[in-house]
Amino acid sequence: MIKKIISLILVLIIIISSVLLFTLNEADSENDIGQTSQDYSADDILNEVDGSLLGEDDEVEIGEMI
Amino acid sequence: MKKTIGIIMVLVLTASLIPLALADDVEIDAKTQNEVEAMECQYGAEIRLLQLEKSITTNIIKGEEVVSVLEDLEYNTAELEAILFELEILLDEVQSVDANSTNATQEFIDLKSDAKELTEDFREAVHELIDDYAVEGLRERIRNMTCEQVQNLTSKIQNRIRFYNRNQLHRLYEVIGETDESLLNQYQNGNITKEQVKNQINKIVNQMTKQKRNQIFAELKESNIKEKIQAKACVEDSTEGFQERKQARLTHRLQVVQNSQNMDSQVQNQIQNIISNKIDQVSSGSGGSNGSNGGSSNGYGGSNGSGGGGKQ
Repeated sequence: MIKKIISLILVLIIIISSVLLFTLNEADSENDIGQTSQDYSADDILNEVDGSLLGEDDEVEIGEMI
Repeated sequence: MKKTIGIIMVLVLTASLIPLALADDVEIDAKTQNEVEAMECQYGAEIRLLQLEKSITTNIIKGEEVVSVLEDLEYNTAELEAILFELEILLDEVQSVDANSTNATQEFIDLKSDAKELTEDFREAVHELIDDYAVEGLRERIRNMTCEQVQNLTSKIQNRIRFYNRNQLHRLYEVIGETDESLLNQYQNGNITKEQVKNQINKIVNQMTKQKRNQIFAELKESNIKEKIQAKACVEDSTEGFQERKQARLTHRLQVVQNSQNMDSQVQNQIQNIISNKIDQVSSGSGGSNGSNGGSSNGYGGSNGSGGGGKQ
């Protein structure tokens, strides 16, 4: 009886994992397709440029004394 | 059968807990991870270390003002002075880090974590001495405090950042396939702003074909992602042995205090007790220091017998 229950649980786990993996794979491939067909604007490029530059007023924050 | 399953489950659970038990209790916050991204090159490392030096220096002068005000009001400031003394030792340590060293990032993370922890200790000690109303008054008094040393650091940092950004923009122009050295020189000399350079880039990019724009975007994105991955790896590396390094720093600071000649004996005794307590806590694994929020169970506060607690 216990063996049957364990087998049933294992089968359920395998089925659920397979469904989840399939769904995730589908979502990823849809994203990939979306990305490759997207055109990037000057703003997108400038955002990337900004990401590689440092702000002139940036500070390393360690907190206030009081 | 049930027993076997039970034993297997307990074993699996125990095995999954082993890495947690062995890991150092250290988390590095997202802001620090961003800061570390720029430290891949020497100029970026130098900038971050100078910025840390500036923040510590600013906090020391503000702390000194707080101590001076509270001393005038006859509060026992020995604990606050002890924290300030440790902050000064920490400042020396930050100044002596070699930005070219391969350990610069790790040292930055360690020392920033100490700076956050000491600042929080000071803040808590002040709150134990005076009420919220008085704290607010003091906060207003020190809000815009600065000194020549901080102003010099600000100007030095700004120059370094312009140089760093110039190099980054030069790389970008190489990707675009055009270079405007005079524009970059003007930016580096402070004659034009970063926004003006970006406007110029915007004009160039707008004249490009879609394919070219996509290609440039992909190259920039790839480069930025690589930087982020490298920074993340660096941050993860620095969490290994965090507590051992902290213990070594505290031991070094204790020696500095013991060798200090021109120091009030009450403050000297207090700081020795405090650092010794911290060393004990770190070595027993309850140091609790981390890079994310500076939260810690440290040696400062009531336990040493001469901490805060109102007027003398």
